[in-house]
This record gives sequence, structure tokens and C-alpha cells, in this order.
Amino acid sequence: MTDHPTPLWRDPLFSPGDRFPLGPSHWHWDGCEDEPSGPATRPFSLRGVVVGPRMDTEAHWPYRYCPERQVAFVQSDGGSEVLYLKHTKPGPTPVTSGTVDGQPGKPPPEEMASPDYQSD
Amino acid sequence: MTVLILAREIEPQVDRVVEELAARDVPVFRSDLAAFPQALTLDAQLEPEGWNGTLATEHRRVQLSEIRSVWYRHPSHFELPEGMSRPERRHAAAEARVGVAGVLCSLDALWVNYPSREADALKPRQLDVARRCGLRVPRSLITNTPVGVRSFATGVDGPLAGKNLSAASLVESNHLQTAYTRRLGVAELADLSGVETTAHLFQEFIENKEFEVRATVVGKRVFAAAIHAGSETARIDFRADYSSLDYSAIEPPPPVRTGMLAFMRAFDLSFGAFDFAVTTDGEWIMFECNTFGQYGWLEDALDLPITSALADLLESGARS
Repeated sequence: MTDHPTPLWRDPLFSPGDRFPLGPSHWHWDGCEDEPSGPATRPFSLRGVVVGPRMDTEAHWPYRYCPERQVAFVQSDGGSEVLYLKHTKPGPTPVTSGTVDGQPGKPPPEEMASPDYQSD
Repeated sequence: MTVLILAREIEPQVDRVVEELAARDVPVFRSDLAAFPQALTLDAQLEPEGWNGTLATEHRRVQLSEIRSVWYRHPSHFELPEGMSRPERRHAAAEARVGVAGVLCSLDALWVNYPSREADALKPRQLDVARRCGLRVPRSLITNTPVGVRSFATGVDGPLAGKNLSAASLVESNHLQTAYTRRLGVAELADLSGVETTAHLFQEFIENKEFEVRATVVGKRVFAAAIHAGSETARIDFRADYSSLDYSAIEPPPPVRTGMLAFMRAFDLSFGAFDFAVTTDGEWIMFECNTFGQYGWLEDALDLPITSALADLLESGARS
């Protein structure tokens, strides 16, 4: 059995960008005002999409990245600064609205970006 | 020796590993590639032993020759200086990508995962490799012809699942929209307009699914969590209704475990999060492997030591 698929470096279809995929900066998702095109040209795969929050009204989630400790912190409701990593625990947390790890209504980031969605 | 982590600043699973490595006194250099070129510098020379030099921020510096392992956790795109024209930005981005990627990918280090190997793992390739590795996968069709869908549906003789081949989310009308898996019965398949507009993935819908499993593989270690849906929405796609889910630890059957590890070898991956349906007959059917899948919420729910396993792997720098 040939287990290994053809590696990308041998595949002329793939650009350097495909081989070194990068995502949007700081999970910033560009707004887009475009409306669905219509039944003649709308992909079947986009039927039944679940509408989420408006991109221009979603509250920005404040965090501070500590370059010394190399982790992020957030403000708790009490005003103290706590480790961001504490906020992926199941159940209510002081700030769940921006949690990016499997919270209700928030698809995991793995669903938010295909490897090659952003061109150079 | 240092662990290089290329990831966004806000990535809780990376934070956990950074804290774990710090507790072990393992040096870590973490940066997002968005920091390049304005807050991250690369200064590399080709020496007889290979590329050497430094990666540095205002706060930290690492010698390239000291890097034993790299965790490539989907860093973000380079943030270039304001004021460039569009052609200049395009040029600068391409130069940055080839220059930075070219040097880093030349390092004699363990990668979790090597970027191009991760990019290799396109869903159609995954399904084929999984099949060859002995894993059961759903009957699948990729097509842009309605007649092909109808023929496939006749062969399946049951409902189909409509799935995405790439990202599930997009922005439209300035709203984030997510395309979850859809169960397609006779009524939904009556009008297939739009199939012809692009490639579409259809699979047999696993009607006798009892629960799903996310199995996170780190090196050769497997951490599996059964995901029990508590609503009809979650039964079709658990991502659509997290609040209804319950979890339990589960051990994959030996052939499934062997198949997953063979799959990892085939794509030369060190990390992957496999999604399975487990049927009422106990059969494990693999849907896909997320090469940068999330695991934090399962680690917390079930006390799975995935962070520790990742730290072990990165600390050792061991390549299989």
C-alpha cells in the first residue's frame, strides 16, 4: 500500500501560501455586506446556514497579551486580571461571549478558517 | 533547547501548553507571525550546518539552532507597515511568506504539525487515506452534477448528509454564517439547484449513530471523548448545539486506534483531532481529522491530559 499522498511540494496546484497557511490577524473577520446572490448561483452547500452575530456589532473582547509570561489575560467581572485559559472551562464564566473553544453559538476556530482562505 | 510556538496571542490551548512548559523550565519562544515584520525580526544566515541566526521580539530572543520543536498552531498573516500600495503589500507579503517560512521550515526540529503536511490533509484525501488505513468512512460523493447526487442517493437508499469541504463559516450581509452538516431526505433532495455552482460533498447519513467521538492524537497517544447529543440538532451536527452535549471518556477499539496512527503516519502529522460516529452496532465511522482541532473543552470536561501530552512531545522533540 502506498500510504503517503503526494506531498504538496510535488503538486503544482499548490502555491507557497497553501504550503504555509496563515489565518486572519487576531481572529479579525472582515465584514462583508454582500447579500446572497439568488437560487441560480447560490451553492447548494449554503442552504440552511445558521445566521450568527453581526460582524460590526459584536463586542470586542478585551484581553491583554503578556509578552513576558507569553499568555493572555482578561478582566473578570470583579475587575481583577485572570488567565484567559481559565475561560474555556465548561459552565458560566465571567466572560463567555468571546470564548473560542466550543461554546454555544461559537463554532470552534477550526471551523472558521480553511487553510488557504486568505491570499497573499 | 527551546520550543518555538507560532500561534495567535489569544489561543487558550496554547496558553495551557506555555504554562505547562514553563512549569517544567522548558524555554519557550511564542510569537504570532502577525508580529512580523514590525514586532518580530528574523536574522538568519546560511551556515555549514544550515540556517542559523535569531528570531527576536522586544522581550525575547531565540537562536534558531536552539529550536528543538515547533508548534505551528495556525498563526496569523503578517501585518505589514501601513502606507504600502497594494502591489507593494502583495510583494512584501509574498517575500515574508517565502523568507520566513523557508527558513523556519528548514530547521532540524519536530513540527506539530509541519505546515505543508497539514495543508496536505484535504478532506477528500483524508477520506481516501483513512480508507487505506483500515478506517471505515461514510460512502461519499463529490460532485457538481445534480444527476450524480440523485444516482448516489439511489445507491445509498437513505438520507444523505450535506457537508462542507472547507471552512464552515462565512460572512454575508455582515453576519457570521455557519453551514452545519445537513440531513438531506427526499424533500431536501428534490431541488438540487446550486449543486452545479461548485464542488459539493455528500455522504450517507449515519442513521444508526449512537454518539460521536472526538479522538485527539498527540504523537502516538490517543485521547478519546464520546460526545452524546441531547437534541435533534446536535444529533445531526454536535457543533450546532453545544449546550445539549454530554461527554464521557472512551477507549477506541484497537483496529480504530491502529488506523488513526497509520493515518497520522501517512500524512506525517503529530497532532490531529479525529471525528467519528459510533453506531448502535459499535462500528466507528470516521468523518474527518482536524489538523488543528480544538480539545480544551473536552480536556476540561473529562480531565484528559492532552496539554501534558503536547508538552511532553514538544519538550522531547522526538520525531517518529
